[in-house]
Amino acid sequence: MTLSVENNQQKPLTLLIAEDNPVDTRLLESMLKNMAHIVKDLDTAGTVSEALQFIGQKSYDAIILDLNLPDSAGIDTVTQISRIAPELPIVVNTGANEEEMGLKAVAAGAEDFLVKGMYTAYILSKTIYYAIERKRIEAELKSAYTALQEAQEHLIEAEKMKVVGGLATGIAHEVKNPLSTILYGVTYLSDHVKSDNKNFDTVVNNIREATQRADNIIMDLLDFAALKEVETKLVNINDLIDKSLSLISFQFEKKLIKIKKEYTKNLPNISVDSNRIDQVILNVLLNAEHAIDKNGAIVIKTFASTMAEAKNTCGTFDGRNTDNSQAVVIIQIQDDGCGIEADKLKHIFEPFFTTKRAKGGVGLGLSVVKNIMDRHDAFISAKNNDTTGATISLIFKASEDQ
Amino acid sequence: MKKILLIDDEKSFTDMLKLNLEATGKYEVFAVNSATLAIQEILKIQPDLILLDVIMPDLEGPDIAIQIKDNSEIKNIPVIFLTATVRADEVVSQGGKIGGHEFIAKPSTIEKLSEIIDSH
Repeated sequence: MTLSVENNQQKPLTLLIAEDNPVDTRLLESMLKNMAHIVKDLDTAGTVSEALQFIGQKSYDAIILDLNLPDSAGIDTVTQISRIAPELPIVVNTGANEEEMGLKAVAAGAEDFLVKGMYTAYILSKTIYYAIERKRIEAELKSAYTALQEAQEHLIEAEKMKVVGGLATGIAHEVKNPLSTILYGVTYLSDHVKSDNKNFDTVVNNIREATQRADNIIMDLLDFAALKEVETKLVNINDLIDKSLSLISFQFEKKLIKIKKEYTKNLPNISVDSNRIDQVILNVLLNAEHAIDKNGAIVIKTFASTMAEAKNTCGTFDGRNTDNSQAVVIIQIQDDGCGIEADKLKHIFEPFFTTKRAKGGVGLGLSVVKNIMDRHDAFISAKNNDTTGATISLIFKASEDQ
Repeated sequence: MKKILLIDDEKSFTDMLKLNLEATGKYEVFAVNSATLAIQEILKIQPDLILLDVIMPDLEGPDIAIQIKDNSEIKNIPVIFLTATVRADEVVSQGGKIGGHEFIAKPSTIEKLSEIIDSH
């Protein structure tokens, strides 16, 4: 008796046998070939390396694996296969008296085991199907677990944002009041008090500048925490970049940084809050400027693409819930500056993370940017260039209304 | 000379603002640091304009603004809110108003403040 394909609603299988004993191989082959309705395709390897070659060339539904092959012995045989092909269900074929080894193989990642000489064609087919099913459920469980973990992270993130929001308002109130007092005090001193002390003006100006800086930090914090709903309209992305550029081009000129525009004409429009995206582009451009010491170049590219292509070429970003065929418009801002240290790359969009603490950065700029992109259902990613510097990609879904 | 009344619970803040505003020579400035005494002081001083803090213990700025509007003797005195918890772009996006009143983000420069006071 064998299991029928119809009963299992399974497709005929493509299987790989890894077995060095010709008698065992023949026995397995004959059992499997007799199950023509179950087995579509069958290959046989005599060593682990040969098996890995087969796996590299073809997609198998399962492998029936002898643990002791000329180039591998014991549990190691299982780990070698599962390391290269983690998705491939493994049924271990152990010798008699090796049941314990079979159990160890299952613990090491095999789906099930057979004991040579102890199984019929029925047991064989049942074991293979169960192994495949078990692997499938395992994968589902894994993806459910990952989804759960991600959902949990999102919740924590949302909770963190709520705390930051409350903190921001509290800090703004508690800190801005004394700051106002300091600022008005300094204003009075500089405008209405005369002093013979030669350091008077320096002291007053330093206090004024420090106060202003502290005020800007609070502003950033409020910006980050109190980002409201976005008001979107259709815009042309090239026009938007030009507008942002016009605001800060003097800063680039000052540092002798060249701006090279590589725009694609007639791009699909995107639906965004242009004030907010202006803020995003400015922030990314200023970061590029900071990364360059002097005499560098910033290349700004715009082009249309798909989500799949963006996932492949733009570095890591969280686009897993977006269909790969989604049409997107991408802005890439590429600098030839100092780049981003590899271990910092995945943290740069987190609040209070900064590589510029010594220069007075508090690490809110890029997290505000990420927050704004999130509100637009758009994405931002960063990667280092092959040669020097880094590239930030801003990925917007092309609007359905054009 | 325009009579300005500052209502803010922080005495150090009203002291500094008073000094600066009076130094312009354009205003006579009074301050009250207790929200609960605010209405009483407004009635007594009869200012030409009120600069009102939003967040204060006991009674918040908007509550005081409502009491001003409800009192026929003082309801026509312009009220400008001073607030530490809004951003400059929010002031713009709301047409510069909280509940129909103008508001100014803290800290604003004396020039800016003076410009807004003079527009009334």
